[in-house]
Amino acid sequence: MDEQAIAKDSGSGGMPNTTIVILAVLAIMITVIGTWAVMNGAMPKTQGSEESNTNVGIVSLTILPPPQSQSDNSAKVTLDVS
Amino acid sequence: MEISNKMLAWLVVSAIVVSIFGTVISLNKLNQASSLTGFATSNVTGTASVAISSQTVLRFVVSSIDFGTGQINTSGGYYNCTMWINDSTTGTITKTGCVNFNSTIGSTFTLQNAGTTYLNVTLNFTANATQFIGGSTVPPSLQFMASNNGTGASCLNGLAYNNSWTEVQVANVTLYNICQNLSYYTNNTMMLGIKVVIPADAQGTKSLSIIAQGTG
Repeated sequence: MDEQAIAKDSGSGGMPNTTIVILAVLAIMITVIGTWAVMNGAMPKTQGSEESNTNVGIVSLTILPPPQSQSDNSAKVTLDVS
Repeated sequence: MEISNKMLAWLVVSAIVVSIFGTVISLNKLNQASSLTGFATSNVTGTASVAISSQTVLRFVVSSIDFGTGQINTSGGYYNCTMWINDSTTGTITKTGCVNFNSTIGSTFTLQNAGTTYLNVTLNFTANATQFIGGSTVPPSLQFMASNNGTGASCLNGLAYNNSWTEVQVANVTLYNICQNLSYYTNNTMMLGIKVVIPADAQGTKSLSIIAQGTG
């Protein structure tokens, strides 16, 4: 068996190349996932005091038409003396 | 599977680079965090250190003033109805030239610093008098007045708009800085009074929002 054939069949220590590839890919995936988890899950979300808080108050009222004056409702009597 | 030794070498090198890069980033981020720390700082005496972040919370304890429903007393010779309430009226609405409307509402607006740091408090109105009330027989008016709550000084510095009624100017634009240093302990509330002048020809249901913002 020549050197090229050995390289295709096995890695160092006789481990198959396919196994080495899987291990390498696993190492990359675990590292990436672990880094993402640390940065997004384990870090404190809120720090410092430079926050602001907003709140709303409401003013309301209802305006009706002015009441009619007494003179508008008064009865008018006309005496015709002849 | 046809993978050359060169390809395998690149994959392994990539794994190493990614691992080192991730480790460096993680260590840097953890070093910057100001969260709980509990490492002993001396060989003799253990010292636990804790960093507590401040909290900024400003809220309306009393968040509405409803003047109710009523009319202008034109038959009594008035051309407008004036109503107002502030901390000095203890929940009673003072009225002139008005028919009906509410006489009491419990309390005027009350703002509370419910956080753990001093606050700079500003107000913004969503409408001015013309937009909120309308009418033209006399100019409509919408005014406010800020004050401490009771005898305790809750605004420790920069209390403003507290000596007289201030007309609301441009809606959604003008910011009124009523207090630069609202306390967060013991006396942590301040009051906001409101005054309206309603012309005789104004009608309808009206609503206005006041936006209070606290910055730590």
